[in-house]
Parts: sequence; structure tokens; C-alpha cells
Amino acid sequence: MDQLDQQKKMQITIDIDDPVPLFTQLIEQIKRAIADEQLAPGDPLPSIRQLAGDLELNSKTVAKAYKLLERDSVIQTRGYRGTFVHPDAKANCSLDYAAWTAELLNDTITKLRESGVTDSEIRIAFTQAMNQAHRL
Amino acid sequence: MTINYLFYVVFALQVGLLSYYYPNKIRQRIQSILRQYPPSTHPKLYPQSEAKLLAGQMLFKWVSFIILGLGIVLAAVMFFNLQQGATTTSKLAFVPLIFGLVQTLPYLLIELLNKRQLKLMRELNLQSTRQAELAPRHLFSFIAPFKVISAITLFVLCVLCILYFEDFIFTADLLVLLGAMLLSNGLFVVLTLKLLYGKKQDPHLSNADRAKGISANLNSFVFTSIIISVYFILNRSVDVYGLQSIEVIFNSLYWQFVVFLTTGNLLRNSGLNDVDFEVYRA
Repeated sequence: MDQLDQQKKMQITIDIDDPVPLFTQLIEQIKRAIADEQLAPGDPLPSIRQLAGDLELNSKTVAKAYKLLERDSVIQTRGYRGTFVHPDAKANCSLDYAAWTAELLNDTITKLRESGVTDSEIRIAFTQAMNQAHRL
Repeated sequence: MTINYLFYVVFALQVGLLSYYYPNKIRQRIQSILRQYPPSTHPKLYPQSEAKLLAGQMLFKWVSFIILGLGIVLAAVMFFNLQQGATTTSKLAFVPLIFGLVQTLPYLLIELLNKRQLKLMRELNLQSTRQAELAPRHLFSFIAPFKVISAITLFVLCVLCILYFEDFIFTADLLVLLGAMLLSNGLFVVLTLKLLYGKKQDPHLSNADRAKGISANLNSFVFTSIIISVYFILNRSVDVYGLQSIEVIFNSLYWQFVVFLTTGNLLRNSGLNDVDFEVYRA
């Protein structure tokens, strides 16, 4: 019951004037709640519709945040039963895919520049690679 | 004759309860809010001017009074005709039902004014931050399962009773009746989903007060559904058991129960001291 009360008190706050995208604000706050142990593995989360209604957001924004959290194994959807905090959520919360991608790209760009490849060639190659991956 | 006297009492109760007692209670509540939480200290509660709010309240008061007057005249006319033997209670069976519909007009008016007030509140809310609880809302967190199960059981029982009374022959009348019952209960389902998962109507309302509001509304829906089922069972059993003379009493009691369990329930269970009005301060 204590845990339930604590979870009931757990609030999420978004700022529509904040330059940080709304879905990122949602992701960060859910991850923070898990990292701070305000949400425990297995805890139920509100449905996309409920959260979108409460925060007066488009359902697609909340769906995007949930999709990314699910990809990172922070949350898991169990069909009609709803969405829950992933059993390994705390460990997975520290994984920052955006930072990891930026780091990887920085390394690659540095190596390419050292080999004499120009910025314009890197840009063209990156765009081509992205387009190719998109078509696949 | 006993039925006539019983009908006078029940109809007088209908007129008094729906057009005097509850409208009076609603007006007292509005006046208490204005007195205890005036626009000067709680501006967020009044998205439109105080004058407009008072005008709405006056309109509600006068519509209620006019209907009360109509009710008294109607009661007198029916009393006179029944005493003279010019009519019978079975001929007047639908009068309390139709008059009940007229009596609900002020409640509809206050509901519409409230809707407009909430819409203005949302439009004027310039706060850029929005909060939500990170926990799912479930139906049974707000209402006891046995109440919902009772309403569903009574609905099924009502349909079976009606079909039994009609010898399981589907006539156009029967289909219209079943359709109306399905539609009214379907409306409760839609409203329940809207309450549980829909947009917050009052942007300033605290989560605790919102939960109380959801619970009060869900209880009203369930009780109304139960009353509708019971009413239709009684209404259809009238022809089968030859109860035409007391149908008028069922019809009058129907509206009284509906308002007692909806508006009455909301007024009884949500005292002003239980609501957090601090959220409406400047």
C-alpha cells in the first residue's frame, strides 16, 4: 500500500514552453523516477491515452516517448494488461542512446578527417547511408 | 381512492424535490462559494465576470421557480379532475414522466453554464507547466465492483424480463425500447471512459479532487442505470399484472430517484470543505 501511495504521489511535469521536445521531457522524467526508485520494476504506468489526456498532449507524442522507452528496455507493454516498468529498467536507464550515437559519430568523423576526407564528402556519404538504411 | 391520495403525495414530492429543494440547495452552494471564495481572492475560479455568474444563477432561479409554479398548477388541475372523476390515474400515467423531463431543464442549464465556465478556465489558463500522476486509473479504483456488477446484472435481468413479458417476440416497439436502453447505458460507458482517460476539464483541479469527482460521477451513472432497469421492469410488468392504476406512481418515483441519486448524491458527497479551493488563488 505504501508503494502504491508513493506511486500515486509520483507526478510528471512537462513545460510546453521548454525548448526540450515534449517527448524527451517525458522520457527523462520517467527515467529519473526509475533511477530515484520512485518507480520500481513491475510498477504499472498510465496508458498513452490517459497520460496524453492529463498532460493535454497529442497521443502521438506520448506514444513516441513510450516507444523509445520500450526500445531502451525501460518499460514493457504487456498487451491489454498495460504498460509496466521493465525488470531491468534501473540498469537500462543509464544507457543514453543519443549520447552513445553522438560519441560514435564523433569518433568516426575524427577518423575520416584524419584520413583526409572533406566535411562535404562526409555529409554526402552520411546522407546516402541514411537514405540507403531507410530504404532497407 | 387510496391510489389517488398516494399519487397526490408522490407528485407533490416530485414537484417539491426537483423544482424547489434541489435547485435551492444548488443556489445555496453557489452563494456559499461566492461568499467563502470570492473573485478577489480566488480569481481562477471565475473566468468570467461575477455579474455574468450572478446572471446565470438568476436565470437558474427563475427557470426553477417557473417550473415550480407550473408543477403546482398541474398538481391542482390533476387533483381537481381526479376528485371530480373526470380522469383516472391510469390516464395520467405519463404526466409525471413528461413533467419530470421539464423539471430537469434547470439542471441541464446549470450543467451547460458549468461547461462554458470550464472551457473559459482552460482558455485563460496560461500556465506552461502541466502535471499528471504517473499511475494508471482503473474503473475499480473509483467504484466498488459489486455496484458495477449489480448494474450489469440488473440490465441483463431487465432485458430478459421484457423479452419474457413480450413472449420473446421482437416487435418494432420492443426493438426501440431495447435500443433506447442500450443507448442510455452505452452513454454511461462513454462518459465513464471520458472521465477516466479524457482531458482534465478543470485545469486547476487537484488530483485528489479530480478522483473524488470521478468517483461521485461513476456512482451516479451506476445508480441511474440501476434505476432505469428497475423502472423498465416495473413499467413492463404493469400490463402483465394489471397495475395500470399505480403506473403513475412508478413514473413519478422514477424521476425522484434519478435526481436523488445523481444531483443529490453529488451534493451530499462533495462538501465545500472537502474541496481544495487554494488552487484557484491568484
